[in-house]
Amino acid sequence: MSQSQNDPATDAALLRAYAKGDARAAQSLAEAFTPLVYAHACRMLNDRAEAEDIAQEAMLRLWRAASGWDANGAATIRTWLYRVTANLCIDRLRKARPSEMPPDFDVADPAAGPEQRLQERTRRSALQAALMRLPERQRQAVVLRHIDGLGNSEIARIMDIGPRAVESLTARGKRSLSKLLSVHHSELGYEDETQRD
Amino acid sequence: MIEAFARERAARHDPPDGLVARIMDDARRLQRSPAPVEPLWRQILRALGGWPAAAGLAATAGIGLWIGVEVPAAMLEAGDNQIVLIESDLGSFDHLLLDG
Repeated sequence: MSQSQNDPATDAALLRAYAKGDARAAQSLAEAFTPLVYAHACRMLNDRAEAEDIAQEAMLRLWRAASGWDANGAATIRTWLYRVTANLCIDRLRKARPSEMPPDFDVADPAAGPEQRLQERTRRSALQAALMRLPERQRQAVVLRHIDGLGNSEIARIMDIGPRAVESLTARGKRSLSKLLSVHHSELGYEDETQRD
Repeated sequence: MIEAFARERAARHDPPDGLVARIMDDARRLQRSPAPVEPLWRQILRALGGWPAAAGLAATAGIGLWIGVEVPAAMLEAGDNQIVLIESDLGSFDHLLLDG
């Protein structure tokens, strides 16, 4: 997943520069964080159009928070944006029934052959469908830990829970995913990998 | 599971065309809209430390004024304090309470 290449202090300095009127600072932040926010919303919602709205709203809130950013304490922009994005996604999920996987949700490697692409699309669709069947908090924890690759302490800050609760959520989420995927593992071309971990 | 997660992690969810541009439009629009000017009374209130501090200050000032205008008899007679009368045009302020 795309992530900001800057360290948190540089990101905060860019946000302060934006608050003082530097539009180029906003461009750097938008380019660094929009992919992160959009990808996280895609995985939480399984809907690109909704994810687009959420990403724009999350970044809008960042611009609004710029002038008082230092009052946010120790929160990094990345942690803050993950939290805002996840909250917006959860609000959206509670208001609307989750949509099905759009037919254009194919992000398989275009260089692969048609069969490989089809299998990869099927596998990724199966994972996304299984993720969508998890409770929201479990899904959020699993996505942040195992797909976005964040550490437990940062996830704890994003979700406003303790590190042990994060471990519990991710473990339960992973077990549920294994069960959901194991039903289809042979048709998805997996051998015993869903059993391995 | 590990392979499934790795595959999803490697997959790209690139933002659609125009999303960053729209986000930048928002950023510029917010920069252009001037920040609301804080009224003077609110600036003074904030400098004093907010409503609780201002209320305490007002109460103290009120009591001070009351003591100045209507010196309580008990205060005049208290302890060994010495009352010195000073002629002035300020009425009750003529009473000056000095430590005895």
